[in-house]
Amino acid sequence: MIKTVSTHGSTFQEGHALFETGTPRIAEAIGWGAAVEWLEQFDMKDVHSHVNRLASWTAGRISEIEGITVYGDPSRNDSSGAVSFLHDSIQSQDLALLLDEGGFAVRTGHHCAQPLMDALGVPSTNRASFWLYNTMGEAEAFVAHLSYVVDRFSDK
Amino acid sequence: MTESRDWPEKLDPIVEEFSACFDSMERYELLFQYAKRNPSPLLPEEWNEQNQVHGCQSRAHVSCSLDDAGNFILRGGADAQIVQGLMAITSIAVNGMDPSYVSEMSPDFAEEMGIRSSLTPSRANGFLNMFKRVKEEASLLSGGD
Repeated sequence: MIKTVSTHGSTFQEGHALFETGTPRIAEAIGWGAAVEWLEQFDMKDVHSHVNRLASWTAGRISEIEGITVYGDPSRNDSSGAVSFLHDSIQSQDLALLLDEGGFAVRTGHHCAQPLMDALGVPSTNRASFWLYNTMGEAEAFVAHLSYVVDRFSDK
Repeated sequence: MTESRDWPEKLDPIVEEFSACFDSMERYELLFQYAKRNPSPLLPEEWNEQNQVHGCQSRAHVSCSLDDAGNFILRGGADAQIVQGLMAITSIAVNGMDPSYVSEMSPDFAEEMGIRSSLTPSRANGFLNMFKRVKEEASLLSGGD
């Protein structure tokens, strides 16, 4: 942020104020308020149970697909709704693209956690995430499409 | 094949093969097959910082040279099969051609094959970065700037 501007030069604020320019995030703050208001109708323990059920069910089913390894244990009560996995012959970027063809968006890559990837001995993983708005039907459809992709594209 | 073709004639059967695919999954399946039969692969042990193509979502490497007759040779390698397949097809297109021809080539064949429209924007940009790199190296090998 500036202090003064003229046709001969400018002076700037000091410290963090130097970097705080432009319009504050008004729309984001209003959106955040609306989201919090909507979430207040739910009991977060129920939300956690729902997410945990979807993630642990999905992890169990996809771990039965040949070549798929699931990382972490989504059935743990303290687990989030993320299901990380990797196929042994379909590279993660390829797999993400093929899942996308079925309408499933998964995160792909090292997830900004290269030390964890090194510890796991893998270059990257795919990650499906569930939350409040997902249904068991969607989880079933995801497993079915992943199974189809693996059948069609794996080396075996 | 199309009258306005802007790629070597030897690519016509491949362009037809892809454009006849029923859907994008079939196109990807075909790309996987081409990846497995890359005519001039660059093996992972040859990958280094110098031959890496930046701007690709996946790891991709290319090496360009001339054969004894002065014709262009592209060798490429990638960790993702879809990128490897694109490299294989590009290799088929450019290998054995005059480097000055390669330096002027258009990537329109990927459009005609229906591949570019199937790719995510980052993947499509990755392919274009790879193609641009090949053209730049062809220009250098042909004695251009």
